[in-house]
Amino acid sequence: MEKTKSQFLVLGAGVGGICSAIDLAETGYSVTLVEKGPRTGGIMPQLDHQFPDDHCGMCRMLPMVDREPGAQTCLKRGLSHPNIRILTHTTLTDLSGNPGDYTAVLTSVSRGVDALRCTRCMACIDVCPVSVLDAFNDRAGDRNAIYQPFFGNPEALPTIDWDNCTRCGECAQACPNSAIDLERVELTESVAPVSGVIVAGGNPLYDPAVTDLYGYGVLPNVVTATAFERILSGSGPFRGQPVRPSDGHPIRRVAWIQCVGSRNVMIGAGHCSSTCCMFAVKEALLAKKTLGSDTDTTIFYMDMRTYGRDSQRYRDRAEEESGVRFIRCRIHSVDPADDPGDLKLTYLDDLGQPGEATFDMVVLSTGAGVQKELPPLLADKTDQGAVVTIGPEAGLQDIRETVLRAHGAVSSLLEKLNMDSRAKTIPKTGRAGDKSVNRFMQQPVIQVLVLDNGVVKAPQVEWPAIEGRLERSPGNIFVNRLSIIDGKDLSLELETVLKETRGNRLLVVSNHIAGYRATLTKRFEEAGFSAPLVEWVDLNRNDVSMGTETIQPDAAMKPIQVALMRLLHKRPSRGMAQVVENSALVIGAGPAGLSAAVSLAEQGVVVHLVEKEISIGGNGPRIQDEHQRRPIDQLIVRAKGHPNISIHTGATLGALSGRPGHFEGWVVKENMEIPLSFGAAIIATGGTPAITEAYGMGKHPPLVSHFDFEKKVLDPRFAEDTLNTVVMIQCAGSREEPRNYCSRTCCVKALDNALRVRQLFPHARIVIFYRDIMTYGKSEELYAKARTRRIRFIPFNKSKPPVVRTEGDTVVVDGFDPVMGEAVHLKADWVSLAVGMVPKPIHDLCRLLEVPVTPDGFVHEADAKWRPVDTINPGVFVCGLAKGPLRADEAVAEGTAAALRALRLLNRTELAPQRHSAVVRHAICSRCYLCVDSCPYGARFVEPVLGQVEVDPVACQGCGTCASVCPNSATVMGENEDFTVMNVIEAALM
Amino acid sequence: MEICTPDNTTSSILQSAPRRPVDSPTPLCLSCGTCSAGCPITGQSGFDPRKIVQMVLAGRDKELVKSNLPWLCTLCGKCEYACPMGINIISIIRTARGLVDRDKVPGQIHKGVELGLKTGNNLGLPQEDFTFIIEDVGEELSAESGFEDFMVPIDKKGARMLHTLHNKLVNTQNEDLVHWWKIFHVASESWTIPSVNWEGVNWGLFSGDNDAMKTFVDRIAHHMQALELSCLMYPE
Amino acid sequence: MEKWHPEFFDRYETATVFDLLIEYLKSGRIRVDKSVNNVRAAYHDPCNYGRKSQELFGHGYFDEPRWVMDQCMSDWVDLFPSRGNQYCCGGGGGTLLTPFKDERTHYGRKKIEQIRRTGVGTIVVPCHSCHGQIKAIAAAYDMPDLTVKYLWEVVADALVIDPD
Repeated sequence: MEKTKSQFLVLGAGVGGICSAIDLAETGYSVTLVEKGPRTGGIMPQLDHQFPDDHCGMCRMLPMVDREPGAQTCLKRGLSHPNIRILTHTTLTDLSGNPGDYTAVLTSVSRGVDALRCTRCMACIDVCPVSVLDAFNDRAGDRNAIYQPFFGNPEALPTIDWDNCTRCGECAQACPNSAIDLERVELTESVAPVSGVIVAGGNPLYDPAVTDLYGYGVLPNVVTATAFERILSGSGPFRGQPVRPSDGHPIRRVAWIQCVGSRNVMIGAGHCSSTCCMFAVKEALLAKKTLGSDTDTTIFYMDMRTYGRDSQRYRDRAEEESGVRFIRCRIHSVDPADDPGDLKLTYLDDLGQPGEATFDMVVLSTGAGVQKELPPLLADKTDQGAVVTIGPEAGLQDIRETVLRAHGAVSSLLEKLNMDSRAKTIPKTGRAGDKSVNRFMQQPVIQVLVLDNGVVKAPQVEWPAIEGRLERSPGNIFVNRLSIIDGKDLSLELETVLKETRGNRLLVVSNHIAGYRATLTKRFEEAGFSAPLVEWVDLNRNDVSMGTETIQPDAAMKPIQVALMRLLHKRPSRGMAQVVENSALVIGAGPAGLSAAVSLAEQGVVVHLVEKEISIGGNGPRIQDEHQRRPIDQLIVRAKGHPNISIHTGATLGALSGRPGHFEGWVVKENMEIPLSFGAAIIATGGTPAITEAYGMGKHPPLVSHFDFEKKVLDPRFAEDTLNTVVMIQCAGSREEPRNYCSRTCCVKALDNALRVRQLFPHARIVIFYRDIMTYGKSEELYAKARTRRIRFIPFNKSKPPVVRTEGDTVVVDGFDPVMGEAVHLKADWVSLAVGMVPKPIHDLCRLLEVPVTPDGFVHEADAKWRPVDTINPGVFVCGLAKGPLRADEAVAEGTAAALRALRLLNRTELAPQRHSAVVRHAICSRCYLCVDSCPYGARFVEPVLGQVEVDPVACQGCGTCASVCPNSATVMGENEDFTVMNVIEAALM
Repeated sequence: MEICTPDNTTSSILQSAPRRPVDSPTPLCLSCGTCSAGCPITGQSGFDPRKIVQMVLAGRDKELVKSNLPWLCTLCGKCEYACPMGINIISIIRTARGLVDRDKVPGQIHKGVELGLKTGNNLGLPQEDFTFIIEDVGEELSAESGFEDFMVPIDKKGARMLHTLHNKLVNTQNEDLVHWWKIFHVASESWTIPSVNWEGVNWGLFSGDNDAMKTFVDRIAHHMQALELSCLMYPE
Repeated sequence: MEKWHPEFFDRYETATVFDLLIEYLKSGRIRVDKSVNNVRAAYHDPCNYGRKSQELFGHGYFDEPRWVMDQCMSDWVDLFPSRGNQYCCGGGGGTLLTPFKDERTHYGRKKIEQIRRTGVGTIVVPCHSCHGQIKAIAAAYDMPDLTVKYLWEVVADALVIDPD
């Protein structure tokens, strides 16, 4: 394997850190992922379910193309990638030098447990007398001062919490292998040269213990949203049997209090934390699922910020189908109720009447806490461009935004360092001509490595007996025994065996292997035994040793036989590696498409930019605010002048064939057909203002869309007229069926318009009827500004919108003000309707690209949170309004992210076929084509000449859906054919 | 921050009610309901702090001043304690009280203020009666063991500390006068009660009457000077 | 005072009731025997000394009265909520002087609920309005046996009187 020439540091191993590390690693660089805490994953291992599909899904960040199956499974348990080195308990203590050539000093604190000596018996944890509130459960449970930081990963090493350890020595005494060292040691290492640094420090959450309003820390049944998720979790303090913390009673009634620590100028938190609304809705549904559908769940909110494309429907389903209650009232404080442990909340209902309700638990939707400042040694260098932060300035972000920002950060870092990524070697195994690939092609010859671990107190094995049996087994089997003895380095002996072996498969058998696996995996890879060629048998397992100190050969042989069987059935790869073209098709030249095109072009990719209209820029040039328009104007100039970009205006994509890495098609322009070939496609077709007839739009001249109203306000003649009253109505024709999504941009536009009117007419009456003001993040400050400028805000429910009517020549708006409890009638000079956005029609295009479309006509991404700019077609990416409503600056950011994702594919010179891909046995195929329709990756197609079903081995992800729908068992899954699986089961039952 | 009022409505309450230390302008109000949710009398006789703020923002001062609403509030400040926007709810209500015609101030408050201004105490108790009550209670105390030499020091020049009295102790709850006296006596404190203007409660604060409030404060300052005292014990 | 007589604070000392009690107790000018006050009591924070003082002057008298309580009560508890977020008794702001008795009584239910939850027989207050209002609501909400005492009253009760 060739060493990569550039390496990057990623600081912080939460969602953003892991995502950017994988991006960098998959683009061909080596990465050191530095984490201050004891584990990777950030908040994710604490959470089990994510909106919108109520699964975890973190593993969807893992590479989908050219991946090694089995190399990595659950990211919550940890991350492993050949290009990523992970250092936990580590901080950056110095960074010197220049962009592209930094020297970093990293300081690590010892875990107190020797990874090689520890057998994970956990005797140390059992005897530790210290009990502290567990941060992993957000204080909803306890742990010891020595603990396993990854729950659910039996191989995770115990770690000493130095702050709470009393050095009593109980653990050291209990450890049978002297693996514990109670002296805290700091080690420093120097890393150079470092090309660039990504800072993904994460956002701390607000600590509600600093206020006495909610009784947090005093009333045990008041918990944070994170803690509540832990309480519900199977891996949480109640092991999936959630009860009320105070008394173990069942949890029947739960309330969520929104905006705890957010939207509060008294604590210096004028922002909205953006994520908590959807978190609460998800958690309410999760509570109903876990605790019973009749659980009373109530969310007390000010504005339900369902600004994501799928959020409004999710929220509506929660209310209408699952019975989650939503009450628009900010809660003052939590009081104890009469029965011990119960909690009482008082509130105002929708009609302004006081109400009181009793709950078993109250959940605090805590928002972003105080952002840690960037340490000076990093802050100094952000201007140089090679130290990039993932959005701390934007505050708390949900997974989707974090992932997008991670992609964007990597993209801008590579762009700034002027990295021509293609020039780098992709240090992945699995390429044609690679030793590992050749080995796959050969009939199995098995090299057994017996590793006798003499370091730890592990069960004794009669190795000669085992070796004898192995050698007598059928098949070509060679056995070598190596001893692990304290202080003795294995590497020389191992190298000799691996070099001289005639084997092309490896079986590792040991009486205790944990702690060595990672190092050995790397050695094996270097020697041409990639992960799928290796099977491991660790005999130090309870089902083998049965708790005895000596393992009988019969007992040991069972798992060994199973592993042997699996190895004997390893099949060679099918298909050939496929060449990847270093060029891309970008469809749509609006803000998102321009951004993607420029970003790719800067990194050496040839870009075909196709635009349906006769000029490029999309909605960009129509943006009235100059400050917002300027970046897009600049992108237009850059795209026009870039040697790597060819622009086709007035053109559409006419036809397409091929596969990820190599597509062929043509664009149609003025009846001409221009042939093109490219490795990846990016959809950036954009959207337009929606057309609506709501409120009688189109019937009365003073009734205009907020886009048209913006133009009017900016027209100098507007100020010359007299003006008494402007009424704005939000969500006109949107956020209800059939267009049940938030267009995300209208609230801010309404506020901007209102403030412009206010500037021109200091005494005008300006009234905004709204359902929920969607000023997420920092834009909340704009909402505050509008209030102080005396814009009046009147909320309404979907079921009772204001009514627009005419009285002679005047337009009158009738509404109801729930705060004052009275009707309002406004004679309006103008009524501005927030009509929202719709996507451009893209069904035909998406059919060509084999990408699904949502009911609203947006492109359906591969995963709303974890793969926000990918589609299920591994060669097609999406960004901008085509995928969902967003602001122009967000579209630009998404364009950069999509470019990076495409780059991960385009960076490779060729793609190896997936080894786990499906195969069709044409002889028994009935050509019902069920499999073609069911394939979620579009990897199956009907070969036009013979009508046979074929599989694209690169696109196929080996999920097995086709095999399960095939009525004839004509589809088989790579190595997991019936014959193999039955043989393995047979071996296990022997 | 510049504040303009739409419809040419003006609110003198909005303009004159002082802001809280956090200095939030009243229009910043989110109408979020925190204040109303936390107030124990929301919903009673139409009371709703959020509505009061919104009334003022709409320039509907008259309506508020005419109503009983300002007088139902105890000015306890629990609403403000949790208000996320730092709105000056209490000073709005107090300012509204001040705009009520004095003869329409409900109950005893304004009468007490007037009596206080005129007579030096909110009961309008004449000086002889006051001295009689005080000395009588003092005598009773001196009958208790340990307090034999106790005498109430009235108008004692050069004493260290000025002790004012809540009118209700002088009026109906004489038995509660002695607690402090006992403590002073055992502590050998040098203290005095003024024979005039002894009122320790400033009802101007409650009625929204800033002028009266000042007069009462002036009197305290005057006592300190005239009786050559050095320490003011804040009224209980 | 600060507003109208800024010079006042240069010329004179001022002392709150808490300052005085703490001064007397700490200096030994008075001594107390807490075994005299041998009933379980709760302490109520008046709005003016606590929350409003905190807001206006940056210091709320929360810890001072509690220290005094520690000196002269053998057993006492806090209400919940207390300190900054406590419930007003309903008698503040001059409402005792208004004719709106029903509203005032309704207001006080929160205080009564709080006191009831603690199960105490005595509530200690350092405020005349609270004293009057809590007595009134105790009667209105069927707690006639609730004793309401001033903070200085429990000090006076526990005073150790030297024989000389």
